[in-house]
Amino acid sequence: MKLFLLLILLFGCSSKGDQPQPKPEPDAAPRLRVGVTLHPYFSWTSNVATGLDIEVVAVLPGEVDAGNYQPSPEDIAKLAKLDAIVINGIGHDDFIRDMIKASGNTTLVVIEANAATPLLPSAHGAAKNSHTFISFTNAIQQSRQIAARLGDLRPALAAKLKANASAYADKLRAIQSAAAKQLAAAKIKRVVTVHDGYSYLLQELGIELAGVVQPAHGLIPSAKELADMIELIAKEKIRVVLTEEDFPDKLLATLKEATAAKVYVISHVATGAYTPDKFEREMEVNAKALVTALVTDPS
Amino acid sequence: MRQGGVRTVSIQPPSVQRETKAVALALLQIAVGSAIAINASRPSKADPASGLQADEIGFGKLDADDQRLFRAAQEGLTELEDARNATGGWPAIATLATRGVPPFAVDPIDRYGYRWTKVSDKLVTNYLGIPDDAARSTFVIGVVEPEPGAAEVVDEDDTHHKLTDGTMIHVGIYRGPLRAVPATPISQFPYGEGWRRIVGVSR
Repeated sequence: MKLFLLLILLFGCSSKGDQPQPKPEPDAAPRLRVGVTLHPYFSWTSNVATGLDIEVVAVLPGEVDAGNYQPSPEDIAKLAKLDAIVINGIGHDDFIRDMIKASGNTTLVVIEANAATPLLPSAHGAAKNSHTFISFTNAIQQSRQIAARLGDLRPALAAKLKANASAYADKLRAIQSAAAKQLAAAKIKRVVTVHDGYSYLLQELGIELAGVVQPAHGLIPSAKELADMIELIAKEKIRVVLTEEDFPDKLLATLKEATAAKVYVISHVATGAYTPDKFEREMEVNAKALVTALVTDPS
Repeated sequence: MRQGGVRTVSIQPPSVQRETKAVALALLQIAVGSAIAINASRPSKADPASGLQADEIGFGKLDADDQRLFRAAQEGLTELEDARNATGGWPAIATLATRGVPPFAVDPIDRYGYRWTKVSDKLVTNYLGIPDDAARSTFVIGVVEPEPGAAEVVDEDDTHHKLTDGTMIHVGIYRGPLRAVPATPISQFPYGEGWRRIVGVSR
């Protein structure tokens, strides 16, 4: 029993989430509180802040997709206590500007994750595709951007933030590179997606996007739009459709029945518990799903 | 005025008006000549709609393969600057490739056989990606450092990056027609030869 208690004492607090926060030096700057609007930003910011006196705060509840979010007084209150916030800023979290105003936090530093990111167009309409976060390349670039901006706020931490961003980049590159090696032998290189969130990921992995089923983020396609897509899939002999987790099963069944295409799920990294490793875990699963869809299953 | 066989001629200075006219004419000739020479090698106009100069091309105008390569080159440029900050020098291709840094690492997705080479002199460094496929463009990540002690007072932007030691460097990612590795690095990328600086985010 004593040995058991000793083991609990030794190892009971070893999980990542329970690690004690570093204690600030007496004359150090106060803890930096950094908010985020999206799940990937929580992972990226947590990784660049590893081992530093920086608290990462998720503004939205974990189970809510930003695309369906309605601001609440509790979430606005969170903004009042922040020093900085990482936002998408190009259409995925348009609610946040009004929330910041409502919070009365006039000193809040807004870090636009996409400030230096080259943007691809949306599949439908003239807007830019705001799903830059479903991408290894963008994750690396934007993590560095977050690190640089946090370094501006805490110059004493700048070197460590940069080093953390670099280590995180190496970790993400390893996942991307492993997938790329396998996808180089892909028998299928052209797909249709249900959701317009995967353009950046597909481009960096050398996969061509033939069409997108959803007319816009979160919108269910009309009967005509679905029929058009079925026609495209047949005409172009598309054999793989990539879907998100929440697309209605009934519509998916129609797609499957009307075409010879197989359907695979790709995570939008948009809901669930906020954890530092959520992004890399779900992107690794996504990479494996692509390998299965384009390399393994067709052989 | 005649005294025997000797003839005396008075030489008068030109009037101020005539002298001014002659100088102005010479200056005009120089200006016109220079303008013709410059215009022959530089872009003639900017595109106000996109905010781009004629010797620039927006990311959105590239095809998917060049967009992919540009995104990789941007990632590579950040790593180059990190290495320069840490070591004081610009890293070798092999060092970056070993770490898996794009676009220098082996890229199994690349269909055009891009091979990367570093060419540098005292202040200018090029990382050149030349494809085997002659139909594709060469990419160059170009860096120019200032002369030691020459302080440049400009704000940081997409072409001016500040190193951690305070040095402001000029950077750019270019696309052009080069087919062989040059003996010395390129510091000017002439519009007339088909070079364009790629702009990731339009101003």
